[in-house]
Amino acid sequence: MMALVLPTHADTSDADVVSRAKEGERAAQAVLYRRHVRMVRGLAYRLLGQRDVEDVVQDAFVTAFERLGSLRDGQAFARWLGSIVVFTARKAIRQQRRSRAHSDALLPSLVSEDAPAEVRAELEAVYSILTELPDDVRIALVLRRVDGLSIKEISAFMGRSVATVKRRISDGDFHLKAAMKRGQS
Amino acid sequence: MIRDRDFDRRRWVEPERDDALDSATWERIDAKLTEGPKRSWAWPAGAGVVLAAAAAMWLVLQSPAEWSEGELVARSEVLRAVMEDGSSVEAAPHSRLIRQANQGADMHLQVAEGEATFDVARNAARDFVVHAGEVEVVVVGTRFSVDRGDVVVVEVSRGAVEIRHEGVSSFVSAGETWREPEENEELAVTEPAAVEPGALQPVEPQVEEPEAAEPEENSQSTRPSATHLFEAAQSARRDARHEEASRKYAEFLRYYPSHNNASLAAFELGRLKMDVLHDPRGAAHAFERAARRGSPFRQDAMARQAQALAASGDDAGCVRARTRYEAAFPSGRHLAGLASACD
Repeated sequence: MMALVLPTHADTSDADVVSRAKEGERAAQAVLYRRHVRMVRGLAYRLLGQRDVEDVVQDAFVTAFERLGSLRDGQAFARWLGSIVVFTARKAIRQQRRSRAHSDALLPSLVSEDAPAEVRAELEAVYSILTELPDDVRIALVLRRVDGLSIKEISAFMGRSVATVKRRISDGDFHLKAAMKRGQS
Repeated sequence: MIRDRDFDRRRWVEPERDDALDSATWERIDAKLTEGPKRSWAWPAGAGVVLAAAAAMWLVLQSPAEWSEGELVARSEVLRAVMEDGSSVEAAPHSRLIRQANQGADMHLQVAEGEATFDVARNAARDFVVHAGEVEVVVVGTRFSVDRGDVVVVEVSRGAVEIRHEGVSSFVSAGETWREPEENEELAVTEPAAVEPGALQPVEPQVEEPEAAEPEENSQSTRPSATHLFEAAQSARRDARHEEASRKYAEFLRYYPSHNNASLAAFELGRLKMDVLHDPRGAAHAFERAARRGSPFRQDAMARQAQALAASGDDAGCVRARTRYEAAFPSGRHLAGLASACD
């Protein structure tokens, strides 16, 4: 299969490319895809594990390009796209839960063996508890403890108030601490 | 995006780069975009959605948002709307609200996705009902939020609401939180067990002072203020100090029978006496007080009075109370429950 070859337009801002993509220019949409696919795939991977990642990547981009007209600030495309990924991933998580398709055993293996020991222990603890958590808590915990997003960014990504996000993270941290204690004993 | 460097561990949980996969995914995306959208982003109308003739009353104060035919869809920003009675709703990003047709004077909204905060204008002549999944939140004049996440969470910051879920009614007052029980969970706990103390911030109730204070026989008395008494009662109730809460509510009603919060205090007192203190006779008296004309809790208080009288063994009193309820609310929501309360 041929690798994707596209002009990078590296010196063109997202805002400029978005305004062309809004007019339906497929080449501009392809540029946005190429610029942000790693971010999207990485985010979906960290939220979901191996399963359903490509479906989420595809659905998120299709949704973004279909709804691009509602994005007023083209420079905010990456953040807006991130919120669509979270929205789409949440649906996939629910579907996985209903079909009992997830596998607990696979998730901690997502963590790189090259990570420093302390970091690896915490990340493996995060991924060991993800499937036990309510979906919103799971998402908030990953966005905070793995992606390192600020509370305000998480609030925008998840479509929840800051107060709600803080509660979700607090819930997640409680379970995380317990998991780490179990790991140490 | 703003990231916290201490917590940014993305590089340790990253899929391998695969240009061929990128190409294949792009081809699929390209094909889907060429096909065109299969459905509008306004969502297909679900069962129970009724086009509201009053949809034109919605005033959008912030964009972006799409609404059409009784639907309010907030995408990347908060959306605020004011309803014709002065109530307002604030929808968080990625939320969808549906306005259902009015049922008489009652207003009905549905939180189909996301989270919304409602500031409901006080109006004892109508119910304002918010539906979220299997949960109904019935309000008469209050401020509360409904979060339709994995489970529905309702937080009340002013006034009180009735929550109906699977045939069970719960009354939630200012400063309390109600959380939908999850599968296999027997009780709907007001605080999730995993939350560390202090993680939830209680909201102080807003108490309105009456314009004229109650006349005092002894002007030199050190009687506590209405605000102090009411807040003390609420605080004791939240802390499960039931006896103390009961005394404080009774004291509040004795000193300030015409206060704006008197009906609420009477209703709370009735609930405590009935549900916790096992004093159905005392509960019936309190509910009768809460059921006075003009009270926002009139319908529920009248129903509960009948039930309390039955529980105290006063079947005749229960029948009279039920008859009064039926006359006042011929289509009332408690009719079915009261039918079997007493003979």
